[in-house]
Amino acid sequence: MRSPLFLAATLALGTLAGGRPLHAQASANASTTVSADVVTGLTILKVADVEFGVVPAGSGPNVLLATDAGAGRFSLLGQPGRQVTVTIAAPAALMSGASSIAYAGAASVNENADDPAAATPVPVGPSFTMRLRDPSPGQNRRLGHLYLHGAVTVAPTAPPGVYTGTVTVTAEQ
Amino acid sequence: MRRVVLSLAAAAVLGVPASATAQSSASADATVSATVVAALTLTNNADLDFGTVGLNTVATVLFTDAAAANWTAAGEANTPVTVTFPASILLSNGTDDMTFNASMGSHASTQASAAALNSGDSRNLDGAGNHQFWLGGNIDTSGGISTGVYSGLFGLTVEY
Repeated sequence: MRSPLFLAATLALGTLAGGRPLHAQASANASTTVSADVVTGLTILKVADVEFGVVPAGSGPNVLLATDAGAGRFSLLGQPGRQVTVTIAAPAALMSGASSIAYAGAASVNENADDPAAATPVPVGPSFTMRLRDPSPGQNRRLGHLYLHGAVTVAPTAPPGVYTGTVTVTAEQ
Repeated sequence: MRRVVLSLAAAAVLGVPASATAQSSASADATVSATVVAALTLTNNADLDFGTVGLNTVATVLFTDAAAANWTAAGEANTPVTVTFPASILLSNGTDDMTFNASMGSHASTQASAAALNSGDSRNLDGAGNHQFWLGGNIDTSGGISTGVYSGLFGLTVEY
């Protein structure tokens, strides 16, 4: 004894696959639900660049912590509580013309407040997920906070100068 | 393709919602920067020697005196460095101690032009990347200490 549900599924499959229905009927009716998951826009705001300041040739690793003044900061603004997939792309070296110094990027996030001291480490390179839980005043959206830091190591032969690189943070919800 | 059609059909019949996943994405860049400067060195050129001092005496060497200790800092030209040092240290002859109170001065090159310096002060390296430091101070040999040669290590630190 096959269940009515099985028969209904069989009928529908036969019709859509181009075959004839097993039993002739004058009419048939089936419904489906159409849904759309509408979300508020996701925004990433760079609050601060990463500044290691002065580092002597032949030194390192010169470590910059999330709580240091030179740490980079991003704010993510989007759907309250929604899971956001974040990817951080960082170079392995900072450049000054043709010269380079080694850069080991590090990052951490705080889902609840703009507080780097309570941030949790996250990977640089591989994607990770976070949620936006920090209330944004006057908006029905929430913030998440991301901090960039890391270390630079300078070879003794590195010529003096300003060395720079670009870190890109991409998020999707 | 057939697999997709069959799945949709089954979903319709079984009453499973066919949802569309909405996505929103964003990205932003940050600049990472570091200013590389020449390595900083500090060379001790001369020690501080009070010479022979009688008991129950306060002896003083000014940082502009020939007996003052001297260091040369060398690094990135026209770059500030922060200088730190103790206000005093103990000198010992192996039996007794006495206090040496420091008095530091500095100038790019000329001792006679040295200006007083406090720990934590900042000074600029000159166009050649140099700055000079001189250490004077005083000792008090009163208090019933024994005679002998008293010495101690005084540390000076400079950093960008």
